[in-house]
Amino acid sequence: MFRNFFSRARYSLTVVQISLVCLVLAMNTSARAEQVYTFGVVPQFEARALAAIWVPILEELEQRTGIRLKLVGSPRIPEFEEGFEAGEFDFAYMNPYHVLVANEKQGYIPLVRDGGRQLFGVLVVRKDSPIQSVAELDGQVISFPAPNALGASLLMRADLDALHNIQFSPVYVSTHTSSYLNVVLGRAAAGGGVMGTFSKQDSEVKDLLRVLYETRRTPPHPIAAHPRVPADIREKVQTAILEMAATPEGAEMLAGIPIREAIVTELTDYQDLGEWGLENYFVQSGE
Amino acid sequence: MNVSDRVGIKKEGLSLTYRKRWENLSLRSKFILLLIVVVAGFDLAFIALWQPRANQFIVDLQSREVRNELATAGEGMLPFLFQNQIAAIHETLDVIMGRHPNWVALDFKDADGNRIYPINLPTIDATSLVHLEEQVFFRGEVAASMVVAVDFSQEQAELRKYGYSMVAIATGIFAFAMLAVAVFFEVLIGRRAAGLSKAAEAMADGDFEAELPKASGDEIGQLIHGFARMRKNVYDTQISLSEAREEAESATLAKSQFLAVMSHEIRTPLNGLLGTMQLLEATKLTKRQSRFLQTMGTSGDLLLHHVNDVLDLSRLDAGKGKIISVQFDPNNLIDEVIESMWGVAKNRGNELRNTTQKATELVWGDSIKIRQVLFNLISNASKFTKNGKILIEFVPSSPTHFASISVTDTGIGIAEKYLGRVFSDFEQLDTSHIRGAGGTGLGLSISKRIVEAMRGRISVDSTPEIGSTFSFSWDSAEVPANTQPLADEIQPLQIDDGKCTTPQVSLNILVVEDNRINRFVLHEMLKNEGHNVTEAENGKVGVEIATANRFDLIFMDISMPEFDGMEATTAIRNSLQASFDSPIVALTAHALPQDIEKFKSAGMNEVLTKPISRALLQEVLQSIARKQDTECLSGDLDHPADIPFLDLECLDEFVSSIGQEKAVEFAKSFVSDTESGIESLLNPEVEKMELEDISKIAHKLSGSAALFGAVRFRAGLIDVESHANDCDSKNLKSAILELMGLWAQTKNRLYVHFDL
Repeated sequence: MFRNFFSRARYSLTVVQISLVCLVLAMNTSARAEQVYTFGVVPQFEARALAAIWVPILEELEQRTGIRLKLVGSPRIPEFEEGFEAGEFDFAYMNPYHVLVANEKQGYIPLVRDGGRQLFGVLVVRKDSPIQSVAELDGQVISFPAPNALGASLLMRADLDALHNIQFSPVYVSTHTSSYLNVVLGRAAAGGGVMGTFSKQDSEVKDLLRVLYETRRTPPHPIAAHPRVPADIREKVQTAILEMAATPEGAEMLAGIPIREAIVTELTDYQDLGEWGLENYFVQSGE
Repeated sequence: MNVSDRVGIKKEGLSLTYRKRWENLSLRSKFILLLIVVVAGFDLAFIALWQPRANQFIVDLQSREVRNELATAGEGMLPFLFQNQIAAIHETLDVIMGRHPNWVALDFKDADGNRIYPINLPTIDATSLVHLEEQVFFRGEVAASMVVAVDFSQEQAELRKYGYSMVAIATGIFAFAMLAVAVFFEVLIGRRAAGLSKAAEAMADGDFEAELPKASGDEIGQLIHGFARMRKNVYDTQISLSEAREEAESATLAKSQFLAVMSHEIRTPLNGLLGTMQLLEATKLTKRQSRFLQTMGTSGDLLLHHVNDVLDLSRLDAGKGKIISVQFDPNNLIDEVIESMWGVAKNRGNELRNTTQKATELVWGDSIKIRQVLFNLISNASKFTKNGKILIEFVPSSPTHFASISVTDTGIGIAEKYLGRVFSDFEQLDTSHIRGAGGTGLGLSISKRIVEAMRGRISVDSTPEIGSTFSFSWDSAEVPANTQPLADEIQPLQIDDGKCTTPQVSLNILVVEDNRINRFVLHEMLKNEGHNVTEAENGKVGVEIATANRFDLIFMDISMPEFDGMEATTAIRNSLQASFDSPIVALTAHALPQDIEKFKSAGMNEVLTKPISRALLQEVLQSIARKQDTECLSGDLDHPADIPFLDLECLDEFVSSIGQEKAVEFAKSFVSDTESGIESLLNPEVEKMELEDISKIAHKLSGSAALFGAVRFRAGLIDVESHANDCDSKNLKSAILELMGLWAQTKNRLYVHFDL
């Protein structure tokens, strides 16, 4: 009996050893084959809206590229910023300023952007307001959505300060709509926003406002990739997006981002932006 | 009456109608009506009073809810407000507004009163809206205010609907319950009450056996119980009352029978007495004897008067005095009475005068009773007046139908204290004032009774030493002529108008009277008048003599033993012999209307009451004599006496047309036909004969009579026929009787003419 037990134990151990090796091999293979790349998106809209726009796109990309993509949302912009500054996303869709920071911090590489338009901020006043020039806003209260909103806040404040040299009291009212409403209700002499959100306002609001000033322009949001993503994957994704844009269905999907004319982009496209000193107006999370 | 009065009356009339209609409803209907009114009242009160209150309560309740929500929302808006996140405020408030369809508008302002939401406040129709405001506090200070305009109309409408359905359900339940109660009560009370009332109605109609509803222990049951007992009581009372009435009636009957008998028993000897005295008066008397006789006469008259008074009174009390109604000339009546009382008045030196104003029309009334009363009053007046005047005046009736007569005297008068007692029974004034006035004191009380029986009034007005006026009235309204001639009065013989001279005819008279004295008296009376009298001492003998001999007149006493006057009369009439058609005068001490009927139907022509007065006797004799005298017209004869029994001219013509032999044959058969016809008419069974048959017989005979020129007989037949056709059985009977007489005469003449 003593002999049987030991021989049986040796047999079992062998089986286990062989199984383990197989398992590791399998895992390596699948890990290699089933790598999920995270795709972070700046929370311009709320989660459901974002999902509605991006999930179909990512699924299409998955099909085209064969890689697995997972949409990762962030509750708010600061969280998103923390995310890309920490390099949590393999891919990310962010605003032009973000991409400069992201590149600086993590080396993110812009892949694709909308080539058909430029990004800029608008400053609105009430139609019946006496203010006719930016200079008259000196010393006034101006509402902005969030401090780091690129067009509505960063570009605008940079222009107002650097270009027009006016003093003003900024009020951060969380959303573009709030910014406009503050102006409508007279709580701010002017308010910052972007054309996109402005034109989507109710006529009740829109009809009471006019655009006083538009900021300098910059290319719009890119889709960027973390350097750790292999180059061939990066290229695959880039190509897939461009090919998607060529199809009517794909173009429609992309237009929801919005990217209406997907073109290849690179960091140099955003360099001018880097010289406008936007970091002075950027508020780090925790500040 | 002005308009408002009329309207008032109309309104009153309307409300009366409604009240009447309410009263006439059944218990059930009343209950249901009441129920409807109560329920309707409750419903209206509920709607008018409770509903608004409930409305307000709901509004208050909801308002509190709204305020709470406002406060909560306001609290929720504060962070957004502080961070100027206006869009968030707008989004949130939009959602909240969306969730409250009845929040018409929401106005959110900051602490400075600047509107935050909405951008533009909509214009709203504020009439039906409730404005609620809540202030939002932060650290003890107002940070914002929210005003919401709420439309509660839907809630209110729902509440109203709910209220209505509640009312409807409550009403339904209540009504159902009440109807159940109504049915319950209907069974317990309504039906039983109806049954009871039916039994009461039946009882009123005489049915004491109607079924009563079941009697239970409750109040209705007790009512039924009580009713049953009451019914039994009433029934028993009715029985005993009718028994008592029967007793009373029989007592009255006995009394009147007693009266009749007594009146006969008293009057008969009186008759003998007075009659004999009258005869004695006519004989040769010494002065002394004459005086004695006068005294006897006075006493006798007085006695008769008293007897009549007492009997009158008893009769009137027994209700026997029937009032007739005839038309008469009051002036004439007064004159006649004055004429007959002239002597009485003259004795005391009094003058009687008729002071009736002008010529009067005929008036209706019981002339006999009026005469009686007038006699009484005048005799009274005469008693108490000496060497004075007594004036009688008739006052016609207008506008009421009461005529009156007054008797005024210039006598000693009556003291006021006695005026009330004057009409009482047996009252007499202090006799010291009256000398030889006499009287039983019954005259006025009888007069009073008589006047009252005529539905009139009698009264007296008097001043002592100056005089008195008695006046009485009677109902002079026209009365249909279905009244009987008065009982014991002599049938008013048709008094002629004086045109006829009354020849002194000597009649053959038969007196059938069982009482020796009465017979003797009558005999002497008649003998004095110059008539030939035969006596029969009983009915049988009377019939024998009457059927054997022809008499012009028969006096028939009614009450005779064995064979009474009526039987005798019938026998005589039926015999068709000798005096079968002679006038028969009934002699009776008492004659009630129904007796007169009997007498007449037995065949009597007249009725005389005992004691027989000479005057009336003479009247009867005169009328009989007049009938004998064919030259005189008598008012009551339908056939003028100068019409012959046989129209010889007509007869001769008839004979010549068919020849003597044939005429004789014809005559024979005519006689035998007529005999049998008359016999059947005179048959006591004639009442059973159909009037039609009588008419036929008469008609048939009148044809033949015409041929033979038997004019008077034919006229009699026509009478019979017409009375039969008119169903006038009374006149028919007398016509048939008359026919007998006519036939006898005609037959005799026919026998003579044709030598049969």
